[in-house]
Amino acid sequence: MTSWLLLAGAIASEVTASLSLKAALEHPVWYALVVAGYLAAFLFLSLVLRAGMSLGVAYGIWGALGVALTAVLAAAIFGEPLTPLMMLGILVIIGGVLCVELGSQRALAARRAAQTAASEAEAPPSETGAL
Amino acid sequence: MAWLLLAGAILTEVTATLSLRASVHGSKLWYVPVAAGYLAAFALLSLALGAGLPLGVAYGIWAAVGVALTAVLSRVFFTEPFTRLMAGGIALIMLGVLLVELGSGH
Repeated sequence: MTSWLLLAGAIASEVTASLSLKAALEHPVWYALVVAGYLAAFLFLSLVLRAGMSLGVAYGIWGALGVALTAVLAAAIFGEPLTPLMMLGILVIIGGVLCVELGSQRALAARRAAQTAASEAEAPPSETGAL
Repeated sequence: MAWLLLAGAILTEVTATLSLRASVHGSKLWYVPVAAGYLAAFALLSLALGAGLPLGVAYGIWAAVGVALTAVLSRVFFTEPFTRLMAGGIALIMLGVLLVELGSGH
């Protein structure tokens, strides 16, 4: 659960940095937020990995939702066009994130089940031996 | 030339990201390729843009290939689980990112 909150933090800071980069084209003072945002994003990503999420999953979801959110917010804030092709892309991205997420949870559950089965196969003799 | 620069940006960025993963459970020395890799990636990306590659195309391809390479190489180097469903999800993410970036037409 913690790793998901940290991943949300990484996505939010990366999107903030990307949007500030657009704003910085007109007012260079925004570059401060660009640098701070990207640094925070990498810090969060490293904490996500430390919390145990696999890199393939974390990086895929981070990159995908970063692109989708930046497109939506750039449309809302800067009035950039959000074309039908882009909306289709965002839907496809969300589907992809769900597949990666579901697949990784299943893979982790299968790995845990295999580990439990392996340790149970070894454990009983030693327990009875202790008694 | 622009495409070679973009390929260089993707490779250095993926190297940096894999080093970040290695630094989590390994030596602090991994932070050296992390910093060098990301700096090189941004430099190469700016050069690719300077060589005439449109931002949407460059960024879309970068994100799509980066996500796929990172997933496959994490499987190889860190034996992370990578199922068929996850591979399908990564493929959808690649397609979606390309649609968003190419559809924006900037």
